[in-house]
Amino acid sequence: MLNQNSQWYKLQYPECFVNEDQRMIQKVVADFVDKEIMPVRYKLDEDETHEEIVEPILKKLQVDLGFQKTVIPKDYGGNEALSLVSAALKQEQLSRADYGISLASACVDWGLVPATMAYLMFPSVKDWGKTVLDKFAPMFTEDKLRFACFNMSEVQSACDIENNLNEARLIRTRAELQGNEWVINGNKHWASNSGIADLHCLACNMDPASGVKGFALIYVPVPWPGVSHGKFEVKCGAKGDRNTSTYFDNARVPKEWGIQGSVAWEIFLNNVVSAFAMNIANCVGILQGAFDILLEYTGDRVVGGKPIREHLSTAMFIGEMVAAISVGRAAFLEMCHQFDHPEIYGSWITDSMAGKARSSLSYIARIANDLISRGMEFMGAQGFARDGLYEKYYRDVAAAKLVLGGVQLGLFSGCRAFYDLDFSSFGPGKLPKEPATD
Amino acid sequence: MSEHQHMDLFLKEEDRMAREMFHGFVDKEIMPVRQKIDDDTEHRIVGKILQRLTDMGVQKAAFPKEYGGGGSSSVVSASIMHEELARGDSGIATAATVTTWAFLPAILAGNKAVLDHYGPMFCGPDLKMGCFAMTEPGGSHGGGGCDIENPSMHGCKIRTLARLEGDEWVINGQKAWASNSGVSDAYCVLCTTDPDAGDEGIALIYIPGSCKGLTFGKFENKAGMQGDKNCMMYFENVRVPKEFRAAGPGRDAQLFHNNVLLARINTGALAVGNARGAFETVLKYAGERIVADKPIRQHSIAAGILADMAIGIETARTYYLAAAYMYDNPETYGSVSSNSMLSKASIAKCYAADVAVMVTNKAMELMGSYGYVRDYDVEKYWRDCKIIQLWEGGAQLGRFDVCRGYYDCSL
Repeated sequence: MLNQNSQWYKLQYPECFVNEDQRMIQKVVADFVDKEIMPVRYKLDEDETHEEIVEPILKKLQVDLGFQKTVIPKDYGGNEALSLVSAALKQEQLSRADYGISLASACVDWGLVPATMAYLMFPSVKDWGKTVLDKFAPMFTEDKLRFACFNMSEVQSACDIENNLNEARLIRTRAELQGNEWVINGNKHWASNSGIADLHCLACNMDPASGVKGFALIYVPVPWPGVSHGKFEVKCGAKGDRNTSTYFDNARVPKEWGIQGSVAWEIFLNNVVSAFAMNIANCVGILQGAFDILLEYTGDRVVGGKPIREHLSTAMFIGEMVAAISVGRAAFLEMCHQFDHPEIYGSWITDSMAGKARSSLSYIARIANDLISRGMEFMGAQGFARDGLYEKYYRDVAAAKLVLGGVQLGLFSGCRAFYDLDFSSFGPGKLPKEPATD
Repeated sequence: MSEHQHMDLFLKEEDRMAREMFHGFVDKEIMPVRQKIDDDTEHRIVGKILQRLTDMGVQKAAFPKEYGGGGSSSVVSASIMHEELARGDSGIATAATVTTWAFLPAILAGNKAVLDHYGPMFCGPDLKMGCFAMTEPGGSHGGGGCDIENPSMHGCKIRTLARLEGDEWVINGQKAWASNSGVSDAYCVLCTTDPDAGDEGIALIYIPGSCKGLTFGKFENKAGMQGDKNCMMYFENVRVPKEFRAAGPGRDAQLFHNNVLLARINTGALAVGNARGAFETVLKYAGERIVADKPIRQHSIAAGILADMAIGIETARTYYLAAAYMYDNPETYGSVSSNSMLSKASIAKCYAADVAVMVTNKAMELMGSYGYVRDYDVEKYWRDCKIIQLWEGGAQLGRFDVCRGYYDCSL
């Protein structure tokens, strides 16, 4: 239960980063989580079709509480709530109960943000944003649960696509302009909400040899002729989020639904980089959820004549968890605050900003994985059983370090803030780069 | 690289042959179905595999030859089998080998009543299951797994009571988490005749699975290792002949602690097998998957990670084999019931379990999202191996037991 009046809370969420409006959002989500998700979290893995538990929860969260229209501009009836601090506070609370549900909710925003960004912040492609929002925003502001999907990874490569140094050259989903239409062919893989999304924002390439110049961001609604899906992936955790392959076989959409070239690439990179800060918040939420269970268990369980947490070896570990939660929380709040103030801290997609965001995620995700794994040792077999609740966090947190290109890519990005590390497929001695201009 | 070279020191020719046999068995019978075992809730697949292992003599291997068994007492041989089977599925490896674990006290004690009763059944052609039940649910008094398996507690936390009434033991209490619980034909149950009597009160009593008064809870829904079943067991005035106690006061405690010690060595081997399964999978993947223009394993960072995995697996294997070899040769290395031996066995388990968790974790990291889905196998090894750290008193008790070999650790 989130106690916003405690000193601990005030120290964890200082006023320099979190304002009153954001605290209200945080409280609403925290209360929602405690009431709607916590009591059923151990059942989420069995809800294979999502009809019984996951979708009703998402309906209440996304539609009834209005989070489905968070990033939609006010002109379209949305909330135009673009603060990353607010978004991260929400993700942290959701992940405290279920990382999958958190992803499913966040990725609706993630799929819609490119259009909103274009409409509000990129005058050169405002028309694209307007066209997309005119067409699809009403779908997300009506009283019905909808999903969006930011679809970039492919079967052949995920971290190669998310690696900005490759400048989109390894994207194999082809987009070709034929008259007034984009014709799309290729496969996408792994994207959150794929297979259930009503709208996909698709990362494509018109010509791999031309890099950024040939990059295209195109919105594709589903169902749509030429678009199909594979089976849902059977994952070991994060099952509140669904993933599958998406196949594009001569899928044709109006030319106005896509943009190409450097501005498309810039919007793409902005969207990718912002997700790193969100996922740190997710990691902290997962860690907090596991910590709460462990704290209670080790207080109740007696071994060697006293509660487990009174043994110093356990206490030391619990202290490590407290430290990691505090540090991780400070990291995502500071980073989101910096994202929210580019006028002070600069562009999101510089080597410095991307390096900080990506390497911080890698670091926190690894710590969260390690601590949750070690924490299970203090619960014994109870930690391994579904009824003990803890094992769910163990399975969920592993996904958090695999997404967005994985931890190695994140750490390499951190190096880029300090030296010109080339970890691309096209570095010195490899394929020659073309100028990244339109 | 040949895996035989460094093992020649510890393995006999028959061990090498058995290793090849189990390796081939796993490749043929388990690998093709390993992705299905999590969904095999009725154990139709698992049961068939266990029956084939029975056909190969695993079930009767440790029983005396006069009962039709193999008379095998080599811990090296047993641990090699654990590793090879766990390379395919550590749950199946557990289910297959716990039967022997359950009967070891009776075999070592030469308990004729127990062996006469169960020997023919377990040395026959049909699959039979045995269970060694020691852990209890625990509560405000303590008494969970690590209290019960802790030799410093001298049995004082055991709450499953055995009371002698005439020619029968009458047993009341509860057990939790035991492998093969709920599906076994025979249970070796850790009891106390008097919690205040210390080790003298510890009793190992054999109970038929169909015994009146023995009931079971629902099967545990676990994160992994679904090839092994676990549930709560309830004993309410369960009555068995008094001859079904393994040995008697004092000797039962030795047999109990010996079983814990042996399990540490064998589950060290189990962890190594699990790690190997994941390592072989990721090694192949990293050779095929291209990132930044070349196979993953040709990048320095991946090579470093793969090397760390190999170092962990090789050293963990060497250690469990060394511990097993020492156990098998007490004339050279001293009493098997010493704190030194317990320490070595615990090192084998703690280290190998940590290696397995590290290896599977790193394998998943190298495989990205592919490492997280059922179709690519690694996630299964990752889920399965975690429980190895947790069982037999858990990671902490294992470490306390390591300390007992070096100083008078009272924990």
